[in-house]
Amino acid sequence: MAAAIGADLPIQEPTSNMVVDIGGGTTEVAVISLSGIVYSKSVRVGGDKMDESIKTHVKRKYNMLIGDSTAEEIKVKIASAYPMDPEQEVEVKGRDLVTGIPQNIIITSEEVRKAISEQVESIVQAVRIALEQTPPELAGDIVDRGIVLTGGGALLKGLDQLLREETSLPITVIDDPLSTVVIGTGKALDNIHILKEVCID
Amino acid sequence: MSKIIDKILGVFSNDLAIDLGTANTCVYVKGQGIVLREPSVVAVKKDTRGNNVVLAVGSDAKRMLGRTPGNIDAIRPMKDGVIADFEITEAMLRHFISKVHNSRRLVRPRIMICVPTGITQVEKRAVK
Repeated sequence: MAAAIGADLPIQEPTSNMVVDIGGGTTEVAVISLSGIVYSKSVRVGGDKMDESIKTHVKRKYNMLIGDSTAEEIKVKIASAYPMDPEQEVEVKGRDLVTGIPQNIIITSEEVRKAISEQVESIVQAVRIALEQTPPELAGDIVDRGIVLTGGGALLKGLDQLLREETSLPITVIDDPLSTVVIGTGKALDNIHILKEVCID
Repeated sequence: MSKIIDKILGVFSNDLAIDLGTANTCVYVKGQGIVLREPSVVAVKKDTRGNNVVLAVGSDAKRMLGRTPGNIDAIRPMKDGVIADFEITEAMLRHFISKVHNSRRLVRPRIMICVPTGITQVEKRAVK
């Protein structure tokens, strides 16, 4: 909800606004109309789960242990949801499991994409379920207005492209996805009348 | 009575909006915009008497993640979008609030915190 306000969507009007907020721990999909939530679903998939998958992948393929921060760094630098052109690579430091000696390896964006594909797939799935559950009039609006992506996960390269291909709907990524929610909350504070309307309890 | 005092002091106070995220916490002050954006990480040190002392919060603590000796613990108090460690989260919020609100200790700011849609009652209690 806050993300929708922060994204400057016309939430008070009788038209549908679909927002997907991909955070660190959860991904939330919501359809909003007339300042109310028509449908919302939260799945426990987010950036942290992707870090974990990257860690497991490196451990399996290279027999090397890496830390949480390193995994996050790999994700931010080269992770993608859609084939990139050209594919990128990054150097990773960690500890070899067999010899126990710290070392360097090179990892490509293609492997990382495969490693996080499970998480990406469940995000796409959540969007698809939300679309199925939306009442027909509002679903019709989504065809015109599209889906808005926000949250840190929206920075994942190619996610908009992948969703566009899967749903053939217009997808937009907010300019500064990391701060959409807090801006929306702040806006609600500035205009108490919005707050009164959108407050859930 | 205390309500009236709060109201009077409230005039001098800033309204805060907080996005308590799993990875990052953002604070927005009414009229000033976003004033703080830091990772949701807290480093806690156990002193000789076994008490927990908060060592660092935010980006300082994030640099300590995975690089701590036995008596220091760098914790991410939020897991899967909910609060996993209640006390640590409280300490972190207090730190962030006092950071943006340092000059006026007496004044209690009005705060709005964002929670995910569809959270359970227990989780709502934890936030409060």
